[in-house]
Amino acid sequence: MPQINALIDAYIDANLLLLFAFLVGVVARALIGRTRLKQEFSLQLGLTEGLIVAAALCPLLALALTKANAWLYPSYTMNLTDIAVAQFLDGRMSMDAVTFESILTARQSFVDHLAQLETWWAIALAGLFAAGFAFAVGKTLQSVLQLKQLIRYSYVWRRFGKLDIRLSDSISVPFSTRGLKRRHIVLPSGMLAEPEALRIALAHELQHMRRRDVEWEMMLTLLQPLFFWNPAFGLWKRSLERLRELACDQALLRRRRVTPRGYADCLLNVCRRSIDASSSFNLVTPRVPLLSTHGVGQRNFRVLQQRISVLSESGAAQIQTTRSFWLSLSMLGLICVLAVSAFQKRGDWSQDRLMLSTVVNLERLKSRNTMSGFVGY
Amino acid sequence: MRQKKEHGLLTEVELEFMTALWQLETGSVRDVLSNLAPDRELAYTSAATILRILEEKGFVSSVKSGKTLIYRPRLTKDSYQTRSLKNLSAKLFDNTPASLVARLVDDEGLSQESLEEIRALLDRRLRDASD
Repeated sequence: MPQINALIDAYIDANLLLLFAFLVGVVARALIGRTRLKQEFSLQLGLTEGLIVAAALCPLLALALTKANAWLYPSYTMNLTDIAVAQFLDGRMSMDAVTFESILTARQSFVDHLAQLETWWAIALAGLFAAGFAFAVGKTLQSVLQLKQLIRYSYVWRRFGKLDIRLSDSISVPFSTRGLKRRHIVLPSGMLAEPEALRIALAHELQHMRRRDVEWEMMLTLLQPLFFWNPAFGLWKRSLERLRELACDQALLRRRRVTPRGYADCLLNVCRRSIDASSSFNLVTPRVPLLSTHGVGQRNFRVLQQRISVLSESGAAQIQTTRSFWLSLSMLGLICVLAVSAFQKRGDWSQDRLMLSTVVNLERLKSRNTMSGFVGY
Repeated sequence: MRQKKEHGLLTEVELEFMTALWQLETGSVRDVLSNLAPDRELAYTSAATILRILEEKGFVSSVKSGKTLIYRPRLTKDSYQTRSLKNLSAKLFDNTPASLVARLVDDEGLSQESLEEIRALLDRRLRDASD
């Protein structure tokens, strides 16, 4: 049972961390939006990806910090709970000790209920999670199998090392993906007759490959079933997809590989064809398409609109990346410090916790004595 | 050449290539390229890829003549027309060819001459069936 408790505890931590890191990302991007870095999509993408890495590393950092703290200062632990207990004992919180302790132990009690599955709500919650998880895994597996089938029935056009450039009749939007060993860029076979569109689509997908966007997409696809209910995950993934496309467009334009006009025409043509070919494959994951055509139409339209408008502003000079680097690094540092302190596990009971427990016991004793009619001296 | 699966229909560009090849009967990549519409600007390598895909799909076969591959259709134009109509009938007309013909003859753009031709074709087919 302690293992199940630890597992549920870790899962709750991961979700809270995800939410927290997402909020840090939102704030960071809002701040960036007020500066000249607003149009630096590579930086914003790097920041978002950095936050994901930081969120993933936080539990390890928290564990390391707890261990180091316990080793260096055995009698001193600092975490949010201990700070709150100290505030309560100093009389800065006006509530009775039993209520305060029940708030402090609410999460533990929730985890215990879930692990034991003895209450109806715990059973219902576990059932809902299992059903949602199974559905999300099934959906991902279905997408992966469809993608595998699509790759199998596509035609190899070119081979460079571990990269295959393929042509398929079943798609209208080019995309990149990968298997365990090989990476694939899949283009609609009809594109062979449009040399300019073919060149742009290929340059776009190669840029995704260069940035390892496909690997990021794979990782998020694997994690999706675990966080299917967490809105922060979905929003984060969507924001990453949007930034990924904007950063890719911008990188190509800055390298002067394509003209803004030609690029915009290519995007609009692909969009038009994807609307016409309603019966073609419309896989959700795990792939990085030239243009997202899945999901809410209005949202895709807004992203396309933004991409076209960014193309028209592509002449803006690139801002020095040193500043971008320090900005990203400071944001990562911020999330690490905050998350590590927030998620640091409680060590042995501190003096304050023992004091609180004593107060709670006294209050309970008093209440019991009052109920039984015993009047003390 | 290994064929991946039975491919029913041709894509738009592939149909252009097949039409050129049906006219030529046999031809190299360059022959097919020169037989395409003048506004179709296609690189040699792209044309070679399209013909290679057509071969993988089983629509054409190739033989080597020196260093050049000579392509030949494996399917006649008539066979492809039949296949294409069957597909259209199945997908759009719920597998009822009568609805397909009804839609065709309902077309106001059809001339009196064409309608007479259709009637003659039907009469001949009915006569053949009753013999």
